[in-house]
Amino acid sequence: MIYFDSAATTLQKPRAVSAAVGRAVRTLASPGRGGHPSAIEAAEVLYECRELAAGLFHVQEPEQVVFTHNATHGLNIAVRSVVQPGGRVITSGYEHNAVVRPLQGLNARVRRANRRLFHPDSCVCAFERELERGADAVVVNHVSNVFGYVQPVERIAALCRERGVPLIVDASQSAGVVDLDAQALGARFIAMPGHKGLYGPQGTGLLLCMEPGEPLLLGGTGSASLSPRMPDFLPDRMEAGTHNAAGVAGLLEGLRFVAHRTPAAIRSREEALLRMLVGELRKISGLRLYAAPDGGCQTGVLSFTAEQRDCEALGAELGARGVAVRAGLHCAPQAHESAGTVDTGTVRVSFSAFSTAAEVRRFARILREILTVPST
Amino acid sequence: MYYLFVFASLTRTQQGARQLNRAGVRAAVVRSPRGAAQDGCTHGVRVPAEDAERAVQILRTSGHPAGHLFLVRRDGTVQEVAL
Repeated sequence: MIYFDSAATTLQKPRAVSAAVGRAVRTLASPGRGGHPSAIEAAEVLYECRELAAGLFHVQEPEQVVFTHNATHGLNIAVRSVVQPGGRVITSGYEHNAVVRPLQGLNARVRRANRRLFHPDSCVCAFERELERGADAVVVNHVSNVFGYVQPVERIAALCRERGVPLIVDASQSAGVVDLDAQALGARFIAMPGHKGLYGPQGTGLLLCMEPGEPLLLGGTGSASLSPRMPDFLPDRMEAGTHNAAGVAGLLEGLRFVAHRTPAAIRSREEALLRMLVGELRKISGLRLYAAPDGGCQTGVLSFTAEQRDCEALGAELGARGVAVRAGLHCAPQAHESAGTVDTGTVRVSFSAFSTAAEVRRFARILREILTVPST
Repeated sequence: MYYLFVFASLTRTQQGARQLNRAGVRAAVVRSPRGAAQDGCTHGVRVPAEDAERAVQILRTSGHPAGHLFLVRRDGTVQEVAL
């Protein structure tokens, strides 16, 4: 199989990830609960993961790294912590439903600042304009899951800092691929999944917290047990219930892989594959590619449409030929509205550190073969 | 007999234990005896009695001082001591 659906989940993981998960299932007890060796060892795995993530994302203290079930979980915590019901929020035109729906759930008054694809300068101007009108918070995705568009989050963060507006960054597609400096950004929260660019198992995620937020789950933390209230300190405040210790053990190995390779090297490799893919697909007539004109603001994610072809049908045909891609709206209808593809959807190709040039060539050949046969 | 450093959270406890170990102090994360678990349940950093003073200094200069320090005697009695 050619697996080009890494923006959803990286399926190919470093071998150490599954080994660590298996070992953890057999050996790790509940972290932070008992005092016996299996519980202490589990707590050590969690701490190592926090410490490594803190270093990778430039967070001051390991306790600011909170474990979540996925990025959506982290974004829900972040939104509930920062946005009051009816609050004024600025987002980009490329947000995932993981942001859109929590904001809708609070009846937030949302203004979308940027709709131009692959145009960072106009994005910054749009955010500046909207911030001048006043806002209680900004929520922005770093990289679009549909188009791989790297939004200028550093410049948006600077605008927020100047005006004292809290910022939430959705790093679902950037963590592990684009350098992220939490301290430099000064974002209130940065949410990311463990199972995409960090190569951990599904059911893992990280929320980088600059301050304690409002927990979604209330319950036992193994600390301050006499109090009926949640602890006021991180990470306990945000981590009620037994941790996914096996998942975190896998995530730790994924983080080690990313730290060893470096996000810059992973991105550079994926960008090279993207350029190659674009070159191959430009030879096929009837395709519309959503590629940045001059590079630099697109990761290893490419959306395309094909004339006279339903994107879901094309995705299914590719699947039947052993190519895993994702077609449709990708849980991000606003991104498609911004790019003008909401009626058609797109087929999305997304790479990981394990994607190869040979796979790109084979994919292009298979796609060409499919498209030479008229659709029924 | 040993000394037990109690921090606000398990994560800080682990951080403290690592700092002490890096500085050559034999420190281990253990479950706190009930007498030292003021908020209900906690873990602490166990340090041999002869290293306690040095450990206090190391933690103080690291910027992550413990919240409480307890002396745990062989008979299991616990006494808080000034940091």
